[in-house]
Amino acid sequence: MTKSRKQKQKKQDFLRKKLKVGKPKEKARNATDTSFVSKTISIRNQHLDQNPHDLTKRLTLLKHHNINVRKETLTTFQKSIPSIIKSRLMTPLLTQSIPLICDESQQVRQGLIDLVDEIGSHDAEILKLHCNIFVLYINMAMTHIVTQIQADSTKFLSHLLKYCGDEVVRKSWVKLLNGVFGVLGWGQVGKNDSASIVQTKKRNAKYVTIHLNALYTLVEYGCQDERARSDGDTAETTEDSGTLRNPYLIPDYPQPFEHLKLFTRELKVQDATSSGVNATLLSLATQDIDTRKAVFIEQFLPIVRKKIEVIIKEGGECGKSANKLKTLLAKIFD
Amino acid sequence: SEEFIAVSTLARNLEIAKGNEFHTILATLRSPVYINEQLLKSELSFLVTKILKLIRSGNDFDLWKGCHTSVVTCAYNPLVLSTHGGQLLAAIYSRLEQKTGFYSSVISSSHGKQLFNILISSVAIIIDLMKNKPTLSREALVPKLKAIIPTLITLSQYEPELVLPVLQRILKRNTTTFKPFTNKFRTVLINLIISDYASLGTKTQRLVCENFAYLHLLKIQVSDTSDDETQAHHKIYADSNWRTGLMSILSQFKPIIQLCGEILDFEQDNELYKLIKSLPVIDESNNKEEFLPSLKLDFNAPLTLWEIPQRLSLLADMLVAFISLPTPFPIRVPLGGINSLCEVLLGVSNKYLPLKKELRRDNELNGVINTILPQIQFQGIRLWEIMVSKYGKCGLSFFEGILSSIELFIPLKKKSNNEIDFNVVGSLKFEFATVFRLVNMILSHLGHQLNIISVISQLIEVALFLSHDKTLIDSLFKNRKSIMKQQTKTKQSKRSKSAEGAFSDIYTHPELFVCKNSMNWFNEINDFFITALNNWILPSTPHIQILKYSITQSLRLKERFGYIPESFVNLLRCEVLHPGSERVSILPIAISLLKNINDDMFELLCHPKVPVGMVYQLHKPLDLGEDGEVRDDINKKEVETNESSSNANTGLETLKALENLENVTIPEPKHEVPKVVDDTAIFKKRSVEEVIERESTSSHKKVKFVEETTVDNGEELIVKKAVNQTKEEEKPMEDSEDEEQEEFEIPAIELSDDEEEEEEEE
Repeated sequence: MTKSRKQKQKKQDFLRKKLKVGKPKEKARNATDTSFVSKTISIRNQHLDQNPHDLTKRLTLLKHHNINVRKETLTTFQKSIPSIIKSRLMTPLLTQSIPLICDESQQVRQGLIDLVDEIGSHDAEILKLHCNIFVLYINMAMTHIVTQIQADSTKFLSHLLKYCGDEVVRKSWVKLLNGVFGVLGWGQVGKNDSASIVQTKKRNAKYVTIHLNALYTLVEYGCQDERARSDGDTAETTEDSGTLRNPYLIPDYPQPFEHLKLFTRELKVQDATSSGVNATLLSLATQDIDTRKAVFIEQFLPIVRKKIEVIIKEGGECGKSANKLKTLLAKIFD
Repeated sequence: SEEFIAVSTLARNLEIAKGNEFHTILATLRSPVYINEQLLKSELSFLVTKILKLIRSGNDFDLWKGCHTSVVTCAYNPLVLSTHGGQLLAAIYSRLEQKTGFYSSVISSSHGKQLFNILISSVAIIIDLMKNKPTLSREALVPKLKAIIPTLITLSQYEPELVLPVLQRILKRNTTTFKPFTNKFRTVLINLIISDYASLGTKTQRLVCENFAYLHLLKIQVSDTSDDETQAHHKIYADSNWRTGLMSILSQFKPIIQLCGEILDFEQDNELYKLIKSLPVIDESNNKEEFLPSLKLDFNAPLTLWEIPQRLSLLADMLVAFISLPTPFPIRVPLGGINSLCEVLLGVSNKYLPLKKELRRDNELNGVINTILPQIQFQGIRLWEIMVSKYGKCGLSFFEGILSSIELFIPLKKKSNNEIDFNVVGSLKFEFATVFRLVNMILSHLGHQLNIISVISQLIEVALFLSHDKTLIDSLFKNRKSIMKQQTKTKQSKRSKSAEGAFSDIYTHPELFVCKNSMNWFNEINDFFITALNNWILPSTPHIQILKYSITQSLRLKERFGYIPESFVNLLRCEVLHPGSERVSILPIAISLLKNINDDMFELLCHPKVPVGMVYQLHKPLDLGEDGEVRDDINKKEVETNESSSNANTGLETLKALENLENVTIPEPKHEVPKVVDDTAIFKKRSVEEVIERESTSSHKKVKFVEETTVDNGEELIVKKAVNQTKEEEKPMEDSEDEEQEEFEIPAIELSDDEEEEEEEE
């Protein structure tokens, strides 16, 4: 009657284990042990100083609320320009930093000017590529409500002109002239003599000098061809012009066909009469010197001449710049 | 022995044939086997009797068949034409006369028009076949013409479109035969002109005018011949009658233009006033030519003013007929008179002349005046167009004047600084098409010598504006806003909602309400642009706009037709060759547009080919190069000397010399030889243009080529050339696959470099 061993074993398989409170459930016999032990844990995402040279992370700092942070970031970028000038980082850098033209802090704006200078001295092509946004923000600054920003706008303009003068005058001649005139308080669109800029102008001649100098460079680039400009300059520009003249070679500057506006949808000027003469002027393509000259003579020259005389009489630093401008105008237009 | 269907069988079948069978019979009759004298007596005459029977039958269908068969046999069988042609013509004509007698009843039947059509055209064809054949026309045609002409003249009142071409031909060829019927025809034509000229089609209008002009080929029987007798001793020109006709039309312009003096104050402009006074007039008070009724204009009913441009248009039509028709004798055309007439017509504009004071208040009247003035000017442009197209360079001295007058046609906005009024331009599209035709003709004669560019730039603006697809609903949207504002104020919603349902399409698919331009228009405009780009460096605004227009339009048309129309290809070419003040030519864009077209010019620009002359650079190393190395400067000198001698010969010689050598790698597709001459020409031109003073410094930088020439016992020769700038040159021709061309292209720069060297030495 004794049960055989086999039978016992069989019975054991079907025995129900009793679960007890407080004791863990017994694991199945075929369970695999997955437990492990390690000495360190490394989570990449939370690395605070994983790559000190990854500047992309710093781009956002350009929008930081703290003035010092923004300024510091600009300086960092400026220092690292030589290494990143050929990298893909330049476009995001410029698109993020250009809006700082309208930054409220003077230091930040100065930092941006230095950065632009640094970039320009390394590779002016990059500035040329982004010259549209530049002009956009410079224009914004020129009409900015904060006087200081408005006053600084021409600094940016003259620095930009230094590196891509040709591009700028080709693309936005009328726009910029209007802007500079506005900053100088000579504006044609809604003459507001009581505007703050005009008031400070009277107090602060330093800015007027800068504005006049910017206007000088603008006119110089806009209405003089390269040969005339390089009269006093080095021979380098002439050589440039020699290579530029051949329209059948691959152009050595970015976006050669941009001005054709093949892919932009042009806004219809519904009523040219309502928006005044300027509407037609702004739609004008100013790719060649003759057009630019014509526009300048027609729209701006009489005002400049009139205002300059006043400033020259006042004398001082402004008078000097104004006189320089006067001789330039005389050279070009007489 | 010969296998063909007997004519008699065909003739018998004719009677019952219908549709396809009839077609086949006609086709068979065209066969040359029936031109056989042996058949003439029996078979062909049988055929003719059958045809005659058909023609004479009362059944219109049989008549129709008979006409066709007779035309086919006469046209293809000279035997039938010369023996029976007259007979057939007489038969057809008699039926035509008979049908004309009952015109109204015939035309009212379903096939009446068709019947007249076939009768007239078969008469015309048989007459044409008989003309210029001396015996045939003398025996058969001319006697019958006397009967045919009056019938045709009668019929021309009802069916001018069909009959007038026939009569015009008869008038021109058989002027003397026509003589007795001149007056009758004249009355018919004058009647057509006076009563229902406007209701005729433009083609028929032209026919009427041309026939009228051709009436002056012969002397009109003037009732009081005393005038002629007194002037009998004067030299009589062949065209005296023609000229009186022409002058009488020309003189009729003046009184109408003087009428315009009631609208515009001509006295403000002295020169115009003088010009109007000097317009040609015929003093004879009893001028018979003046048959047109006088105009009835009334300022109180402004629409009557429309008669002015209508009348001027009629006169211009007739004048055009007089000055453009071919005549058997030379004619004297008063070009100066016509020119000053046109000038005056274009001067009738309120651009510089003020309206008469008393008219200024009436809006409706002013509206009408504003619309008729361009139409009056347009008549001048039409006349000029014909004048320039017919007399071309004879009017060379007028051309500049014409261009400055055209400026008067471009509408300007009032009280603005020379701004073009595009709203008016849009409504004058047809007129501007003529303007551009005229300008194209003139510019092709004048070219860059012209220095009135203001007109050209204005015309470019107009052309660009008119080449855009015109949306019809722009104004609707504009007004819409103001209406919406009103609606929010005064809530009258229900009515407008029900109305809006009807034109929901306008809002959902505005792109479908568009007037598109025709290819003809594009062709004309492109021609104009090409001339403008060829001759002047345009300011950048119009230049860029032209570039954009050409690129977008050609892309659009390429998508529509699958190819780029020729005029656009030409325009693109022209733009590439004349970059104007652009920094970069649109070469890459043009190439990608014209990718699949084998355009020689673009091919050349992308793959500048070098003349075979480059090969003789290898020639010299062979002679000199036993020691192994050759210096660059020696090489260059060799090239120079060779260059001065004839290219092709030396090239071929060197080739032969080289063929003897083994393992020579020369980039030299031989088939390029014929093109060589042109290529060098182009290269020279280009490089000369490019050369600037500082060439010496830049050329060293730009082009460096290293040449390694190794000669091992005259067995092996390897030439490698590395040109720095090649990369730049190569890029535009990404689409080229064959390496041969690439290889071959390299020396292009080398050559230009050599030429630069030449320049230096000079």
